[in-house]
Amino acid sequence: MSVPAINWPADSETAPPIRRRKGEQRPYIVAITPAAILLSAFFIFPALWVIYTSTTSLSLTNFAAGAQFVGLDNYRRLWHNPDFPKFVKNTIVFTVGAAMIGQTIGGLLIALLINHAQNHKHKLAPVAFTAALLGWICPPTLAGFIWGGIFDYRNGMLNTTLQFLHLPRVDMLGDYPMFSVILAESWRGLAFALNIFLRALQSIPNQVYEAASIDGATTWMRFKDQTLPAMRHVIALVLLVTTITTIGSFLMILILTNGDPAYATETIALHAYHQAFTLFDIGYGAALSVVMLLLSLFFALFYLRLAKASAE
Amino acid sequence: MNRRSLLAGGSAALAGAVLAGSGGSLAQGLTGTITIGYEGTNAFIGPYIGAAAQAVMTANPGATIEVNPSISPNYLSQLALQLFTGTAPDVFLIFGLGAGELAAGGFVSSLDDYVANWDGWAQYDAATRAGVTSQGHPWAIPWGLNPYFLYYRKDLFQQAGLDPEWQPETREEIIEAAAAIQQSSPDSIPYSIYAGANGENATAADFMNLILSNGGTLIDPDGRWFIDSCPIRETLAYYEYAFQTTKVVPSIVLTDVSPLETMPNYFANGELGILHETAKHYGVWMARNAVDAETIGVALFPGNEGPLALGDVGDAWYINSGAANPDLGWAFIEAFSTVELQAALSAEDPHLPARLDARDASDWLEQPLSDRILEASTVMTLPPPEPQFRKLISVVQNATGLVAAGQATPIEAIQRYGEELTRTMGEQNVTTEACG
Repeated sequence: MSVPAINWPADSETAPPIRRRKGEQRPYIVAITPAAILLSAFFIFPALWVIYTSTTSLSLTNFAAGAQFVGLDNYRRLWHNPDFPKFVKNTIVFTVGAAMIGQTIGGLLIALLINHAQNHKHKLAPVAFTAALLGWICPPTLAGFIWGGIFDYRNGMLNTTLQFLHLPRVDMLGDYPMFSVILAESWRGLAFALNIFLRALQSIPNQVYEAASIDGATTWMRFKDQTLPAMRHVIALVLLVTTITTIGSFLMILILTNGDPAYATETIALHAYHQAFTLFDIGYGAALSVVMLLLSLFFALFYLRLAKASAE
Repeated sequence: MNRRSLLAGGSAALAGAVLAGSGGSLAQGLTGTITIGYEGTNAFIGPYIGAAAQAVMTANPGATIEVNPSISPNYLSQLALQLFTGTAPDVFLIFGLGAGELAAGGFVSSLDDYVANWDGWAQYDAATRAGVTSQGHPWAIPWGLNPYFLYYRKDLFQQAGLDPEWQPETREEIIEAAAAIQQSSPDSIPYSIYAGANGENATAADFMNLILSNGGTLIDPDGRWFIDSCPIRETLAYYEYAFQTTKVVPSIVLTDVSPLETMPNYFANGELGILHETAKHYGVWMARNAVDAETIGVALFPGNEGPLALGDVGDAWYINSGAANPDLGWAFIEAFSTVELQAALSAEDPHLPARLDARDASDWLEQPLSDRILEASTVMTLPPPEPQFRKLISVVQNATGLVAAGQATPIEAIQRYGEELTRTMGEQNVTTEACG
């Protein structure tokens, strides 16, 4: 049995194009100018500087030589680096694991559970919500040390518990390094998605579900036909934000594995950091950052198209 | 006045001793202000720097020396950024091995004119001078050389039925001893050598030590880097044998994010059997009362031609090429480089004093590790301050990490090592040595 889905208004219906005469746009231009200046100062100019630097030999340890223009040499170097495919793969696995599965899907599932608990006025609902928020308010460095303390092979909480239960110890950071960093990053970022999803769930009128229930919809049908369509823009937004932040995020990996063992967790962002601030090769590090920027743009465009397509 | 009474008297007494030790030869009539930078996490050196600065200011009432210890967890990156942006201290302390790179980058001043007029320079032997010389010029003044030792826990050795006065003659004997510890103390880490990126510079040091042990070198007499040789192959095979075949070096040595701190701590706690580390750790353990001299055994690393010791010139003083008052900077370095100060500091923070005459100081000779340090000095190899050394570190980390993690055989890893080194150094700067 199928329940007709609610026809939520598309973007084009809610936001008709504004057509004004030339003179009428002045107040908008004035209003938008501070934002444009700030955006230029803190994003566009630094981004242009990074793109320019990626075409130079700038190195912190070669002050005498200065920044020589080398064209696309840094990109050629990157292309011929046999480990580069591994860094791309690690970045994609880390992003899909932490941003898409851990934070977005995990955040949605927990938001559904907490929303259900709140609707039924369960006493533990606020406790669960607060517990989920802890990862978010925890500074990333501290979060890294917390997970380091959990995963530590000899004295960590996980292995101490396993030993107490007479089970063999697990070398999480050695045997499952990518899973470990995905888990830790998901925990830290999940509350952002959860918070947004929870607010979105609470904005869906109860009548919608009541009507669907009267029509005989199951829980799964209500979720598939009512909840998901109502939240498609929010899901796209959360996916966009978590993906872009996760592609550029390396602090958790730096603290837990530093990219080891044998580059098993070295992402493009972490490799850019290592090149720029360990080997002081700023030009090459900038080239890696540009690749990361392109990857973020690809994901951003993909999500925006996806959201637009689902709206149409 | 001995070291303990010096320290008990505070930095004023130490400054007085520095002045006295300089024999009144400290430059006078200097004016102006300079800044001094060093890694503030080194707990031992601060009072000595303060004392040398005080001594210079006492001899030069018009001079001011500001001492700024860095609390950055990444001192090297901070200093590199400061040097690049022209905000670095006028005089700074960083490893002497970096002399080639800093000189090539134009960050530091040559000390030719200063050492030519300093009688103390005659007390630095040829090997020590070579350790801070690049392009034919000296760039830094070291205070203490840092030999590597094989430290071992006598208590774990006794539990394993091994001789507590152990002095291995072959690399195989190290693995055998570690295997015995593995059997008798299964929860311990039998042996630790650094591999991969987390071992930082120590990964390259252990790799270089094994190359030396196998009778090889990293660079040929013409300055070309070996991308393949028997010693390199045997070194990578040793990593495979230790990490993968026998597993006497467990994977946490590779995967721990800061093994340079963790492994010495495990050793001090009696959880690690054999550790290849520098002399300075001994001072840290003693200062923490973590172990006593009876618990720790010290041995030289065995080589094909007998025992050997890899070393480095340790931290050394540089004058920033942008320093406005280099003469005052040199006066500080000179004050820090007296016999008394080097002997006292090297006794507290175990090093081989860079000055030959400081090695005869009773204060230093009383220190429990001094006999072994002197023994090591007779077989010690100091790597030259090669400007490209930083690039080599990353290549070595990759090759050793792949083998230690079991992701490549030694032959596969040496192929990667060769390719990366060729790409990094340039085809004209690499060579191979036939290996039958």
